Amino acid sequence: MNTVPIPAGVINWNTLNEIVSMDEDSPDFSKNLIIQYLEQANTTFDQIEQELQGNCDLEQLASLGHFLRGSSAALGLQRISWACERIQNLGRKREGGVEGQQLPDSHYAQLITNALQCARNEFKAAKAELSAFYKSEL
Amino acid sequence: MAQKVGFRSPVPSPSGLAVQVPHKEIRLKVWVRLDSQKLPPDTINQATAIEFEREDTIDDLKDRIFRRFRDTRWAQENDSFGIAIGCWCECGFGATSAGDLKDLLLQPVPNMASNAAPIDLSHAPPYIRRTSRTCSPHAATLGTPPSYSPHPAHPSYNKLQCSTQSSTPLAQLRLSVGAGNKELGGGMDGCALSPVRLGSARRLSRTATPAVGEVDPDSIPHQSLLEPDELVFNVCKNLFGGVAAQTANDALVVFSNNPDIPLFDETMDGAPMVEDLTDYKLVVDEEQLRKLSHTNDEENIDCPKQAILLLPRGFEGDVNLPSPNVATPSASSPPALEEVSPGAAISPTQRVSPVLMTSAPLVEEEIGLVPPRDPIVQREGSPFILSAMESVTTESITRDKVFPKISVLVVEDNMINQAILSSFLRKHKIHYKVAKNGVEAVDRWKEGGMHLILMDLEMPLLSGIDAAKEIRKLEKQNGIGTGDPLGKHAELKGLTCKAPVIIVALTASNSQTDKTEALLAGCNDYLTKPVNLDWLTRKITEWGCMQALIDFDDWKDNDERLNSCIEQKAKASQKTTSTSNASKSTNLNKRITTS
Repeated sequence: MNTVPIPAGVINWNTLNEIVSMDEDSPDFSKNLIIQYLEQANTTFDQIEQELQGNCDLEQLASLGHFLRGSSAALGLQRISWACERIQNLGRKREGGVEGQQLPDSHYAQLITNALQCARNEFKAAKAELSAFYKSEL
Repeated sequence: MAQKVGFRSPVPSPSGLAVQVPHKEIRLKVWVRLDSQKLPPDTINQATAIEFEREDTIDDLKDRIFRRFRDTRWAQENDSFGIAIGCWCECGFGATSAGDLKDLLLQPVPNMASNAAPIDLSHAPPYIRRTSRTCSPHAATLGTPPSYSPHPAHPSYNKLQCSTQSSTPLAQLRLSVGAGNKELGGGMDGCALSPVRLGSARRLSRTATPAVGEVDPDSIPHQSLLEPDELVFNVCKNLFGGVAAQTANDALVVFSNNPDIPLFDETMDGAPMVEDLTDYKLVVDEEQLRKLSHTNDEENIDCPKQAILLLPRGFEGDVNLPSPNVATPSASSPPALEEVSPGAAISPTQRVSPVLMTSAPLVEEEIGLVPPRDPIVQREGSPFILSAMESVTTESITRDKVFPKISVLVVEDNMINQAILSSFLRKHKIHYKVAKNGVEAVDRWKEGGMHLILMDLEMPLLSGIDAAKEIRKLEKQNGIGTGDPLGKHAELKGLTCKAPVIIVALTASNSQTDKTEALLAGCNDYLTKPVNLDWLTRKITEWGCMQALIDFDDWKDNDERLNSCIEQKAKASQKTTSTSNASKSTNLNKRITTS
């Protein structure tokens, strides 16, 4: 059912370079933005985690996934964005189901847990690549 | 009508919308090469084929050239305001103007030929124009002796320019949309032949060598610049007889505007400095000016000539033009006979002291006013003149573009995306406000003055879809855009925009349902996230110009309000108040057309 393949590169440099080019006017703009993003991502991952262990409200999970997906995509962190899209779609039961079958929320919650793990892995990879780019541990 | 001159749409056509539909066409290519005069002789300067789209204008082509040469020094030292595309034209002027005349007759131009006595300085532009064609690099605007008799075609030629300037923004837009029509090319620049005309000019043989001691201006090869909003496709068709017919030898030339910045540092070593730039002479009456033009004209042609900057009566404040060396060819540059590059005509060789300016203002009626020749300036219209000029000098080379003055509301719940969008707008000096959900968005909009909303769709509290619906509902209730200016329930007194706001949805997915939903909710357009900044640029330009056109008077008022707002910011950041100068030049331009 999952038809969208994960993007090849951790970072879409075409997108990120657009942001980096804005450093011309305000130095360290992109770096500060990345740092802000990394915090935001960590916070959001934790929120998803809590939601999964707590209420497990699928709609809430979907909107958290959507939220992080937006900023990840804007910075060109396309694999994190991909994982977040999975969370969003699973939360809305748009994927991960079986044709003609009503599956319990726990099924989707399990898939979201997997997707979250995927997102965290990609986050580590992206962080490493970004640290190398900025030549400092982010 | 004259006071509407200030606005000119930088967008030639709604081409951006058309670009969305991918064309199944063969790839179009055009050969270009850099102007070799500005390059050191040993540089390899081959013609390069640049791909372009069917709807691309010359300006788009510039962008493509910069993209192609992205990593070169040339690209770093030039920006799209500083370059022009054209070719070296060796046409005799008389021959061209005879051809021009035919085109000119298509315009309702009163016959000015008889009353344009060159002595009459209040009608100075006719022979100024003439001079700018003969052009040594230093005799910027006014070098011809008054005894020179202008070509009969000239006054009407100039009149054409005036008529172009004084037309309404709408008419101008129409003109631009009709880019490629032969009438368009002539209006802007003495040398900007339309491709059609240029095509015929190129077929003329080289004119005879000028007599010794007297340089016949007609035979000097000069730059023929293409209109920035001319379609590349049309240019190819008219100039080369077809897109595929162009060969590398026919490559269009990319002229750069700053000959003073050497491409290689060593050319600067030991080279004599340009004349003292702080040295200037203030001329306040006609007689002195005439003498000065005489001297300029009679000097050895190899000598650097003095540029003349004409200022309006009662002009106050600094002359906020690009730093002089941008437009001043250095002493080591190839001498004399080339056409002044665009922009040079209004750039001072000498900087005029603001103190002297206020104590002895020039009198415009006495000296006449020279319309700026820079095609960019012409194209953008006066409110943008100085900001455009400013951009020429700024170091930034990416995505420099002049935007319409509009207020943008950014509606985004994600701080990261918000930061990117607002930093983009700030960079381009576009006034903006931020809202982080639909409720805030509606509130900000109620405060009034918004032209464009960039609306994220999925947000907490109130989604972008619902916010758009709400805004449309309120607009309807308040009679905005319904032709009922008062409205039946005019509860929103603060709303100053009489035109409906343009809402551009930022959709997270590429799915058609999202887009359809957005359009049904009252959004005018959409962008898919992550937002590509090039696309954002286009949307802001297109919709912004549309808004300015729809409600021009309101836009003007807002413009003043914005000016003060931006000025405050500018003061805070110790930057020059380009906007106040821009409004001065608006006045200046008004006078040009009314005089």
